[in-house]
Amino acid sequence: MIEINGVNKSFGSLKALDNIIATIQEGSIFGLVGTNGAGKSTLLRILCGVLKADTGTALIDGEDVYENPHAKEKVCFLSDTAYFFPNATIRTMQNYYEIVYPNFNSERFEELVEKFGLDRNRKINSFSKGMKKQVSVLLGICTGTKYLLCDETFDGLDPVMRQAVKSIFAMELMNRQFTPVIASHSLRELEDICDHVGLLYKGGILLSKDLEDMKFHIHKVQCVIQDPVKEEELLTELHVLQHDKRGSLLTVVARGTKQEILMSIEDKHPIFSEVLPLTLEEIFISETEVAGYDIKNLIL
Amino acid sequence: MTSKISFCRLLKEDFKRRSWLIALVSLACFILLPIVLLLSIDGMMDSVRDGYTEFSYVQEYYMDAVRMGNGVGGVLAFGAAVLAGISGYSYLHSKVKVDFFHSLPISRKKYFFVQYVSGVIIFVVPFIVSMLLCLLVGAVNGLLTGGVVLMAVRMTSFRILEYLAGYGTAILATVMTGKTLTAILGTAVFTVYIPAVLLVWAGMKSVFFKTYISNTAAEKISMLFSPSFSGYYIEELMKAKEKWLVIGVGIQIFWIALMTGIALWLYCVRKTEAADHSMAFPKSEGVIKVLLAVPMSLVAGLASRMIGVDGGMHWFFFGTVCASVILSSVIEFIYHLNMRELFKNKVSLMLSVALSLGAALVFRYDIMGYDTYLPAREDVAQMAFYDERLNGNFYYRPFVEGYDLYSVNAALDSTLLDNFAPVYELARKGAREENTGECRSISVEYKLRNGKRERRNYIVAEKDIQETIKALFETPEFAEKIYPVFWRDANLEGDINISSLFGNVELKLSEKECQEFLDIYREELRHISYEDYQNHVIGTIGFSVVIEEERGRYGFSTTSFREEGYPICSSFQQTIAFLREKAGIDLEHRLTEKDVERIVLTDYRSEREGETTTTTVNDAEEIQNVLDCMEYLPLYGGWMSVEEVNIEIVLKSGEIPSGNLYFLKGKLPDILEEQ
Repeated sequence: MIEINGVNKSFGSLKALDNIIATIQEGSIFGLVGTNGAGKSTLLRILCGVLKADTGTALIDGEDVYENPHAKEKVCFLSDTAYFFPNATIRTMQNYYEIVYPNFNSERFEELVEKFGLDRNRKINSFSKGMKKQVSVLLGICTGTKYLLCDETFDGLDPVMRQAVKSIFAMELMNRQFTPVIASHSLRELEDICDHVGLLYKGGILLSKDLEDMKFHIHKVQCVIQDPVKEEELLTELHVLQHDKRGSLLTVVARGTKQEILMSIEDKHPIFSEVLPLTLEEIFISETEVAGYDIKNLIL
Repeated sequence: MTSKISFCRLLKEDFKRRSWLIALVSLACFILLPIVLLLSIDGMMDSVRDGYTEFSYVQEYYMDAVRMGNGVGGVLAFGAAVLAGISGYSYLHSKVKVDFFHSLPISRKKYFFVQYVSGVIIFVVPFIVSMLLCLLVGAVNGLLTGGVVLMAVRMTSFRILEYLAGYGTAILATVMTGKTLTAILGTAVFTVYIPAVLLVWAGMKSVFFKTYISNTAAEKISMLFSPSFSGYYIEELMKAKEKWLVIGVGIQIFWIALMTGIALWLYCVRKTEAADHSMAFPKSEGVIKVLLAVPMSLVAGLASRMIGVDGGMHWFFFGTVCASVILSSVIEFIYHLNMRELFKNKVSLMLSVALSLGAALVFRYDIMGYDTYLPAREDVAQMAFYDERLNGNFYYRPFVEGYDLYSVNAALDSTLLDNFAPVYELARKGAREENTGECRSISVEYKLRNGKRERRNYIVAEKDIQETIKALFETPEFAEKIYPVFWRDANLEGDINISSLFGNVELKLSEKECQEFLDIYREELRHISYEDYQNHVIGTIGFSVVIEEERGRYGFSTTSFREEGYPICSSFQQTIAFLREKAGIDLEHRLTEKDVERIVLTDYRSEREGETTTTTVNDAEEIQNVLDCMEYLPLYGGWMSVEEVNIEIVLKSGEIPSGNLYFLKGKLPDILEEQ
């Protein structure tokens, strides 16, 4: 488990992280969302021991990670710009990772490199940006570390590769103790991959919730209720986060289970009603608007 | 926490990444050491076989190549140290690289040492291999001896220490900075800063303080304060004295420990986010700016004064203030690379200007009272007096630095007197500028009871100087101090030169006779009076002084110098008798007209510039008159008034005796009086 206890970090006069308190449970894929400059990279760099928090602690399985090789052995950090040695080939990097990560799985790495169609003996600096990302992700996955911190790693991967990486993550999750933390400025990048999402805003965590939990308790419905009085009663009964009426079509985003919301609507004898799928973005918009933030300005 | 990651494997990986440096250093070592040596020796050996060159010359050349003082090795070590230091730690200057390396499960200390050891091996191995090849070149050509091997081992070891000192400096500069350019500048600053500041300090004193005595030896010793160059200076010193080997090794180890220790500590506390910033420790920016701007501004001030049309002092102040502002902004630009931030740190800018101006004022108006310095009489333990006319013939420090023979400071250090009352009085007059009439410069040294030494040049009246010397000659201590023959047994070679009116004679004495002569002469010299010194010197002695005390032991070449000017007065009867008996030199013989063929007098007294009159005296009576009027003054120091007439005597034997012949003022021969 990763525990972040009151972490603060400033760069000169700029406050990058402001009293971050969060917990990342094992066995889930944690998405860290925020605009550019929200503090995602800073938080990840603290979690992998590159940066030292000004105050507060970042604990990896109960151990402070900074200058602690034992704790760092459990973490692999994939920076937004992957670093490869000058003139290095995949084989060169593999050799180095084998030295510095004792649990590096060479067989698996070679197998994945094969699958991704990457030439092991070609110089990495001749690879495209996306290919470099692939190499970086494959190296990170094969380190065998319990935690994989990915900073904007999925940006630049094409949909096929994203899907491939996603399935590798899933397999790793099944086969061993594995907890990826993926930072991105785009909710859409994380929507189909994360179990848990934390939203960083101006150096602070705005919210941190389980995605399924959020989806289970927030729903979007469209209905047509002829009686305006009943329509008003429905809006009062439901825990409405958002509503919009265009003509006679009422769209409501409300907190509650699907069954609870539909039962309330049925009581008002609607001409028509249906539950619509909610995107992660819409969930966040709803959640944060309630908290008094305009998420459209925060994320997209 | 210990890490399971193998140190050796990390080392190997670093070698792979810095293979370019390994290749470069190996190639440079190989070409500059064995290859160049092989080509040179091979050419020389051909020349030896053809009979054009002595084999000993080749031996000497070969020894020069493998012993300390070989500049090529020094340049090689310094260059490699800078490259290895910066390349090993420059990853700290890149955010991407720092993210990569510092996220690895390796402690910073361990990674520091991986890089450190790697950098050491990158130089040490090719260097040692190259030195072994140099020895092989010697062995093939019959030049290798046990002594040469010892020299080579000694040089190699010391060179490695020099490398480590330079390496530590480059690492420190790299760790303290966040950009490679500033790391290079930082290395240069660490390398020359303290010697440069000491030179500026000495330069300012020499420009503004008229009593300042420049001390070239001290200025050179300032190189010891350079972590990178101290070793090369010590090598020079070691040529003269073996004790410097121990001191030199100590100094090198001190610099290695200091620079590497600070670098390691800063490396551990260095914030990762410092990458891409010029300076890794923002708090040091202002301090470094002030430390750099102030001495550089003073130099710029002096330069402005020199360039200024009238050389006025206003140019000095103008240049100093302008330079402090400009330099502060240039340094700020290096920090931020942003024209809008040239004057960002106003506190350090103001401090630079204020300190530069303050220092300029302190020197210009002698606020420290340097020129008027006079310690209380009771605080002075000893004093030394140096008069160029009196001491200028002697080498007071012949075996510390071969090129520092004529140092006034060395003379002062060697001639400290317990009975210094006359010198103190003279110094007091100098410090208070109580000087009237004909004046000239003398030097004094105060050795205070607290051990501190101060040296000053004073302009004092000639009559006061004469009175001081007269008083000083009244105690044997003065003669014992100013004449090095009293305390320099080991460095006097057997050949002794006697100069008199009749020319120079080399004494050929056995060791025993030489010692006997020295004993006699010293005893009489000890009691020399000023009256004797001034008016009754009938000859002088010159001794050969060996410069290298431990000659040949470490292969350093031996040099000797002759110091002339030891007086033989007419009262030195035992000395005169010894010379007459052992060498047949009669110093008491007076010239008469019977000895002289003719005398040529060249008269320069005409008021018209460049106009001279030459008179040849052939008549016996006139010759005798000239001989009666002239004085033989071998140690004439300008303190007597003499006529501007040159006297040249041609003996009947055809010889021309010594110069140093003068007519005292108002004592001209008749033939000139008539004219």
